[in-house]
Amino acid sequence: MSAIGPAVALGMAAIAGACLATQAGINAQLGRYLGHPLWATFVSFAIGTLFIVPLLMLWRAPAPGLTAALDGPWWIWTGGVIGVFFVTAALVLAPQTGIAAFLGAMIAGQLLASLIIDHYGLIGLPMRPLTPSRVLGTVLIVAGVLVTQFPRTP
Amino acid sequence: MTSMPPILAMLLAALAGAGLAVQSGSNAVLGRMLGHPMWASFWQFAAGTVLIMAVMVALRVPYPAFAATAAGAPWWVWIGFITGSYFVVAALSLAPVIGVGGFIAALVAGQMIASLILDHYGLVGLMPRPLTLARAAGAVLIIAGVLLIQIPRT
Repeated sequence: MSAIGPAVALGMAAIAGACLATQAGINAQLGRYLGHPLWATFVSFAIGTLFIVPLLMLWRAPAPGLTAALDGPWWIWTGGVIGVFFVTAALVLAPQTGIAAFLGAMIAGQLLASLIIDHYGLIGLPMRPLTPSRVLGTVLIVAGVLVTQFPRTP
Repeated sequence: MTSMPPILAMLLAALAGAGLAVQSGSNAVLGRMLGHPMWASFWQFAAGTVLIMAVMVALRVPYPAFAATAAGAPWWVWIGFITGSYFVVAALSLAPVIGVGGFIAALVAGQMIASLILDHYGLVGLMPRPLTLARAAGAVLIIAGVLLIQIPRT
């Protein structure tokens, strides 16, 4: 992977973003066909689990150090809960709000929470105090989300 | 669920985004403790699968129409896991090449552009939401905000 240039890497990252956008719509449709949105969440996580096993082998990941992790803080284990909430929220909400509006609101929430986490150095991350450009950037994002909502309230 | 007010949907989307911010931090710590970032992804998917099963049993979600879905649904309803897995792999392998900031900026740009296209044409079963000047401007503001936040990191 180290052989790819920055431009290719940026392009691949943009494609990953496009994948995330498409996934919400696809999963919403899958839930509709299967009869309940939670079935789409289930399929997403079950197949994702099966997909990661060969990747672990491909990457030659060493056996996990469970003893160290079990002594760690409780919140390191919350990724699954948050993941389920996020995938379900995306597939239920995106068809109602539109994908762009959903993702905009999601990004705004994500960056507001990141600013707080960084500023106080929460969940094991180094402290990164608020800077004018970080605050201004977040304001721009929230403004962008609000602007996309204009045509919905004529 | 169709009667949810747009404001509530947007707030839930923002909350899901805040969850993602917490998750990326907690997964990073978990991956470090377990010895490899992929183990954190594995835990997230495996724990998520178990959790969603428990929720579905508790809610008595009816058994899905797998056979009918396989026969009647378009093929792309099943590929949500590919887009999701591509994202996991891309995040792990590209961030070291272009930095987390560059990855996030490219990701958000890809997300917003793809979502405007998906909404405009009503792809993957979505209701068409034509591209307006306000929606395009909102997406530009969001991308600009993300770029601005990354500046002090470099």
